Amino acid sequence: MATSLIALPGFMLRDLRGASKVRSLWVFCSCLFLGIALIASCASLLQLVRDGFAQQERNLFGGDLRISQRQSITDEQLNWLSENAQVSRLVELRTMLGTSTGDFTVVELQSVDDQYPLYGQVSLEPAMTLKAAVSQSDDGVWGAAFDPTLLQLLSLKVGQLVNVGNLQLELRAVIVEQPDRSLRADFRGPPIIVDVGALQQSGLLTPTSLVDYDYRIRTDEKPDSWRETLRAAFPDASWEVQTVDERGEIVGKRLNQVASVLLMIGFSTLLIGGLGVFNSVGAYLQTKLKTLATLQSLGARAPQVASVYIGQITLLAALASAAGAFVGASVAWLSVQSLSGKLPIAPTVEALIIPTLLAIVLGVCMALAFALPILGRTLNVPIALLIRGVSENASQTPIKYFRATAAISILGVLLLMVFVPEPLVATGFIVFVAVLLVLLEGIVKLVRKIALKLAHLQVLDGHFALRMAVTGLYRPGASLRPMLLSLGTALTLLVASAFVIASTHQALSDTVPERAPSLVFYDLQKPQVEGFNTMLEQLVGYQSHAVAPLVLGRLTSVNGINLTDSSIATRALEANDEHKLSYRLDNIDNTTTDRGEWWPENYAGPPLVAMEDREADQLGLQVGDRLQFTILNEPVIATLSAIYSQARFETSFWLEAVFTDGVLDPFITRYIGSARLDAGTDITAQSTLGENFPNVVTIRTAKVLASSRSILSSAGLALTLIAAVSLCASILVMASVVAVNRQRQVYEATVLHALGTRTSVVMKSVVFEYGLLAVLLSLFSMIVGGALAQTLLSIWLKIDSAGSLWAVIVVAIGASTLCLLAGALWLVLTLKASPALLLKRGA
Amino acid sequence: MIELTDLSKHYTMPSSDVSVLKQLNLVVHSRERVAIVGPSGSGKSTLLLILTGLETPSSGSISIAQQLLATMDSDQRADLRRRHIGIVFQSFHLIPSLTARENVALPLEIGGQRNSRKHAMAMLDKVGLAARHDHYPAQLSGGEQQRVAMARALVHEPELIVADEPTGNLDENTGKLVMQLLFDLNRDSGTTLLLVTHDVQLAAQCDRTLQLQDGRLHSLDSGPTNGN
Repeated sequence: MATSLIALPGFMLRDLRGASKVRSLWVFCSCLFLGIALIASCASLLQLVRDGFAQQERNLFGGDLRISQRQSITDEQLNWLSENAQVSRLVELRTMLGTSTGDFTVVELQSVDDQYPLYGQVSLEPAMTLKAAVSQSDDGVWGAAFDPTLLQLLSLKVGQLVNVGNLQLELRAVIVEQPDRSLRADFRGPPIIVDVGALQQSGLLTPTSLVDYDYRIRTDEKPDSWRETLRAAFPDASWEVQTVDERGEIVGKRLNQVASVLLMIGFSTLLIGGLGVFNSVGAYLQTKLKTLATLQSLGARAPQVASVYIGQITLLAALASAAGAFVGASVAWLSVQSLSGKLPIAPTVEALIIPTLLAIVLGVCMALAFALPILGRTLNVPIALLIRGVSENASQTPIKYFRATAAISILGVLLLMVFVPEPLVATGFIVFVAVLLVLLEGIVKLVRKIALKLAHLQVLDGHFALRMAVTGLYRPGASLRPMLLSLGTALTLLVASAFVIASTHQALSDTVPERAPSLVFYDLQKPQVEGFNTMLEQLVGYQSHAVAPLVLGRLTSVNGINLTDSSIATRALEANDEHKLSYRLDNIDNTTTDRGEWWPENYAGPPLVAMEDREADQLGLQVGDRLQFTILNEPVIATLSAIYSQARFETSFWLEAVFTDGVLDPFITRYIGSARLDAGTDITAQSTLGENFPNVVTIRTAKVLASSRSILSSAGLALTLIAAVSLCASILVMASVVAVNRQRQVYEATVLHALGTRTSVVMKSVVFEYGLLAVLLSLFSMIVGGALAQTLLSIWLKIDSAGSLWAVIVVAIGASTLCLLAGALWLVLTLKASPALLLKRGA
Repeated sequence: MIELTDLSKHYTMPSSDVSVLKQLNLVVHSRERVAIVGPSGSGKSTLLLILTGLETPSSGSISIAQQLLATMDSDQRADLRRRHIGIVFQSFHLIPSLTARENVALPLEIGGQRNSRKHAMAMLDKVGLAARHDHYPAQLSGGEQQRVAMARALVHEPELIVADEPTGNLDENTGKLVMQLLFDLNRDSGTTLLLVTHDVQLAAQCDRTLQLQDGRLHSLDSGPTNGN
């Protein structure tokens, strides 16, 4: 016995030698490879970015703590800070940068002191100190260091003079490395660093300007306890104090959210691929029936025979998973390398080891979980039947194989929980998969019932091919379940992606140009409004414009309960958030009422307020609530009258609350506005306004839309790529389903032909069977994918999707027909009915 | 019913040619029962393949139900089998995913006949398997499967039944019962029967017994025959 036990591992490898010719094993390996590659790439990317952020946490944050305020802190406070830690002040404001050629763009103007940066270092090209780059020259010109993005945006060069506010600045150096460069800098405006003196002379620092004063603190103390000491020293200060750990948590949370979603797609693909594993192992074992019979008849014990095939599956799964994990990790590595300019992180190979190894273990678990039931069932077939070549429905999976499958599945679920950083998302995924499987199982049963009834209808008499196709839906070994599970899931994803992409593109392409203004303005000072209005009206191509006040304030209490005291966590957190408040002038923000109602135009009663739906829902507000805002340290009380929603891509400003006329009057210092112009006149208009009102941030909507389109196109491309990978896995699964059914269908075709069926009729029945599957798949993916996307579109993106329903129909029908047509065609081409062989074999 | 004239079949092998059938002649009249016996490899199955239109001869002509097979294409030969021939295989060749009744109904459904299931049920009743009509082949014994196969061969009332070692996969008792049933059904339906078997006793129950040897048919007690 010992000899044979030793001999079988050798046999396992020898038996596997010819396996490369078995097509089903390639399907097996490809299914695992795709799923594991996706998971490994997401997990590795998360690990690299997470590690990178952890290493650079203080550099990115700029210190151990950050104190933020809209105005400069008092001397007393600054003295206290300087006595208790190392302090660096950074003043930031968004403004326009203009060139001598009349080009304007929004920049983030930053002034730093000598202490900057507290962590990391600023590198400039040509090499010089930051102080030298920003200092005032002998002839009185202030210098500036500028973000490399501006090189491309406005073709700026070192030595060039640019205008910011009232100042002319000399661009002395490009910022090659800025440790605390914001990840949002590309969207908000590229940074340009100037001296504090330059900023003061720019004329941009008026008492009502929207300026951020950041005080970065470096201390050896624990940031939390340092903050407590600070709070004790200045209990009434209205500043926001954030620690590096809190920032890390926020960044980590966002990373986890994104990674969780990506990983979910990876796990979905692996799950879909699992069906391919199941089918391909089944098809592989069909080719091994004689070997199984021979082994057993030669006296091999069941565990020994099992060890041969479990060993083969494990070995192949490990190899395929290792290849997938390696490719996934490489993709992650290359992605991080390509982002090195945007993400200031230094990836290490060590960070990839754990996610790669875990992905391989997961792949092996997944393969065994799907392979063991079919393996157990085949190995349990009585030897006599194996010798006669009968295995179909000849046995059941032994309980020990089910137990092993359950144990491995639990391990797989545990690994899923390890991989997915958000436990809620992981749990949600498991529940969703369970619900989906139950739903699909229900649909399979329903379809089978209907098919059974249809097959017995007299109307099908005389339609042999059609009847065979209908019976193909319910008879044993039917491909309905695996097809619906694999292709159904993948097509659902594809349809949902197509619906979202089509709807967003339509929202951008059709709706926006009709409603969006050509220019929007921020930070228009109260004394400038009149002159600004006049200039707007004189612009070439002028059509109309609207100007509304912008007041910043905090919501401090709801129905008399202070938000800071609220037991509702989101309300307590909101207490620190600054909201953008305004009036409803000409419906400047393109809003529609969601709940409650707007006040009449000539309303003159007590103060009322309307709030944006996401904000209101986050706070759990109801129409009728009494809200207290704090604006410039003054309380303003108003009743919530309406909750409105804002059209995503048509919105110029993201106002969080709108008040009845007059309520904000005492606090108005600056305005926002928008202008509609004839097509093609926006660039000239921006230049004219930039020259005359340098402090007013003017944004061309067309440019923002182009960025949005570009982001959406990238997102759309990513969605399509992900859906395509899923579809690839599904096509592989379909190939495995076709492969596993091919032997049966060739046999059936042969018998039918011997009984007198024309070959064309046999082919027709195959095409009908796949056609019926295509109809079912189209319907399923249309309904489930459409519903999924509709939920996303209406709740999250708030996009009207009615005009894009065609995408659902076209993609669902097109994709399912193409896939199944290809499957049917392949089957028809490989169906070579050979009754002569059949008779010879049976003779 | 069957007329084979100067039928030859040889296979070209790498080293030499193998002649399986040599200038073979056979006439089988309508309603006649003919048994063909012969050792393994004598060409019995090749002969069946050729006369059912599943393989083409090297030379000679075949006429089944007054139709010359040489003039037909693959589909026309399929039509011929569907209309005139019922085949019983040694290994039954039932479709595992169809129930007994659905298997029996197949020839009728292929022919586009209405009420095929009703006819199939009646045929199953004749072979004593009406109660097992909704069972799949895997749920039936070998004898039961062969009875279903016989019901399928007869359900469309063919003029010719070709049975290729129908008891080859059955034990002796079951084999006897099955053959008795085949002969009974053949008698009741008045069809022509061409039976290939090893069993001389079984062959003796036919009207005529021919032996296939050296590529030619011989009457059991005489020399080469023209099969008439």
